[in-house]
Amino acid sequence: MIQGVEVLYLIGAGLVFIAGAGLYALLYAYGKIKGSILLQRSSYLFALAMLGGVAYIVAHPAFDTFWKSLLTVCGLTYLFIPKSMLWVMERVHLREEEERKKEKHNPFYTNY
Amino acid sequence: MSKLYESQKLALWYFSVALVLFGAQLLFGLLAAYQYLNPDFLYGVLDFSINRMLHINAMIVWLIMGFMGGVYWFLPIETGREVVGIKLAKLAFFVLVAAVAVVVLVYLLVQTGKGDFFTLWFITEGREYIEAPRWADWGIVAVMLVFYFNVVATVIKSKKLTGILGVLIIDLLALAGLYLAGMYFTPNISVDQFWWWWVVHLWVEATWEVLVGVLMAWALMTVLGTPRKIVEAWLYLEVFLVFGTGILGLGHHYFWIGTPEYWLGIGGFFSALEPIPLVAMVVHAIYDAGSHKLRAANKPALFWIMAQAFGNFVGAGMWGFMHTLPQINLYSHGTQITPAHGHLAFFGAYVTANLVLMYIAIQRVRAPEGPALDSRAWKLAYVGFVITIFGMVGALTVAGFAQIFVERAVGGATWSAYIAGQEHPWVREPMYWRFGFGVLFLLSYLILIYDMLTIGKRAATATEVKPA
Ligand code: HEM
Ligand code: HEM
Ligand SMILES: [Fe+2]
Repeated sequence: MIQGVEVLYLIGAGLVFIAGAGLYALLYAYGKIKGSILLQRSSYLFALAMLGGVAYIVAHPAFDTFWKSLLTVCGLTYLFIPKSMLWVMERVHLREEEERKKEKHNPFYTNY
Repeated sequence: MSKLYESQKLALWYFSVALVLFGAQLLFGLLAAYQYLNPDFLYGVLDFSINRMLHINAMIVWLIMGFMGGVYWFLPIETGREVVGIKLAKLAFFVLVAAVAVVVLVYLLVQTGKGDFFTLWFITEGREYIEAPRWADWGIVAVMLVFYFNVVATVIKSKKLTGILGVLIIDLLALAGLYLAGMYFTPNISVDQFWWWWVVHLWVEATWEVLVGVLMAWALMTVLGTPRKIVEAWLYLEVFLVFGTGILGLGHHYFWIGTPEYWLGIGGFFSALEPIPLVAMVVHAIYDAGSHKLRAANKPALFWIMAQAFGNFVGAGMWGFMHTLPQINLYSHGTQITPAHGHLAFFGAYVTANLVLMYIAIQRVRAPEGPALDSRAWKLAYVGFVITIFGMVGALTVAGFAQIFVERAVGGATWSAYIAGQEHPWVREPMYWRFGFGVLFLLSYLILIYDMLTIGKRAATATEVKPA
């Protein structure tokens, strides 16, 4: 059971969790593109906030082992999204450039 | 620059009607919001329930019309030919507009029925968001079939089945098929709601999300010149993540409506994962915009593209996740938290996407060869919309928190606790702020309309005047 004001803290923790995940992703990706170590480092602050948010929910007795493990996996996933997404984006860009060198004229591009 | 395709002219009609209905949506929303403050206002003439119904039905219809406009806009570019069956498409447009007009008139003038089959067929079906009476349902199905025929026939004739078009064709089939689930009638309210959620949830959290993915892929190619290979690779990933989490995320609406208990686990599990693709979209947007240094010939379209990525994340991701775990939803279900999330998600994901499409069309019509599409008014509308939507949503969130605490957590969700919650100043006062921000939201809408009517025109004349 959730007691009194705790439910509001849990909702707030949920907001911090996802907001942290988003801001971490944003700053990390932007820092990577700009080549700014400072931005990348500060992104980890939001990763910490994210982990704090999810830790608060995981620690709450209203959630049993099933939910605790689910939320933990969830939190860890968000930790790796920015890195893995950037990896995917860079791969796709590289492959695209190589292919463009091979076939110089592709009629599809001219449409836009 | 070549002339517009007929299909693109049709798109402009779709956009125009969509914008008019957007305005109507806001007027009825303001009436409903005012009735929160003064419940006697128009009581017995135009009740809250009617205003609310018109508010959200207008929203669904205008957003879909805008998306259809977007498809009619890009389809001939993508396939390099006029849309097959364009005459039929135009006829379908007029049928749709006429049907919407009749339905609105009946909503306004007849409003309610006895709750029998006559009501179901001719007045209202009574399912939130898709209340249109049964005859109009079939009309909508017919229009959708024409639309689908246009898309598929054009792709077949052009022999250009691109990856984007493949996703579009499959997604539209699912989107239209789900609408049929919303027409299934059964006297058992649990079963009825079970199917009704298929439409509402599987639209906005699966099929619309993918449709917007398709439209934004074309938008990125147009506005930023992003290569096709890149937008397509990203689109496949997005489809995988959105469908993978969003389809079974449906369960977060099956917690308390009489469906089996296993939905608590399924709904909580999958919808907890739903923000993952939304965070990935933010990374994607940053990557694309960052490598272009936010420079593009279509300023408003570019900025609304960014707003779409972030709005989707904040409205659906943040405001969605915070009440999606069943342990928490037990307390928050149906409080003002729900419309706080509903407003931010619909605006952030779908209003923004529509504005991107419209500005792309405006640039092509007004300033195809440059100069860059820009004005002061679009910036004003942009900032106005962002501030006022957060103003309204912030107010509703505060009221929701107070309701959860006073009515549910402390009061134990009894009838008297409900009244105590409704009378609490932290629930009542935010309703004034919501109305105030609502008025300013309408003002932003008016600036947007002014801008859409004028942007690109003055710039064009200015360049003409200079040499003289
Ligand atoms: C663009 C995407 C989305 C849109 C447009 C949207 C819109 C809405 C709307 C309008 C409602 C209210 C439905 C009603 O009338 O009862 C709602 C409810 C809900 N949404 Fe979303 N939503 C989106 C995404 C999400 C996501 C990603 C999540 C979870 C992470 C989520 C979680 C919920 C929950 C739990 C409810 C039920 C609220 C209650 O119990 O009262 N939504 N959504
Ligand atoms: C002038 C601005 C607006 C005002 C004053 C307004 C007001 C309202 C009011 C009073 C309700 C009924 C809430 C209830 O049942 O307690 C409502 C519901 C709703 N509105 Fe708005 N609205 C505005 C703009 C918008 C916009 C721009 C959108 C999205 C594009 C939107 C989407 C919705 C949705 C989805 C619901 C149903 C939410 C739910 O039941 O959870 N509204 N609005
Ligand atoms: Fe949902």
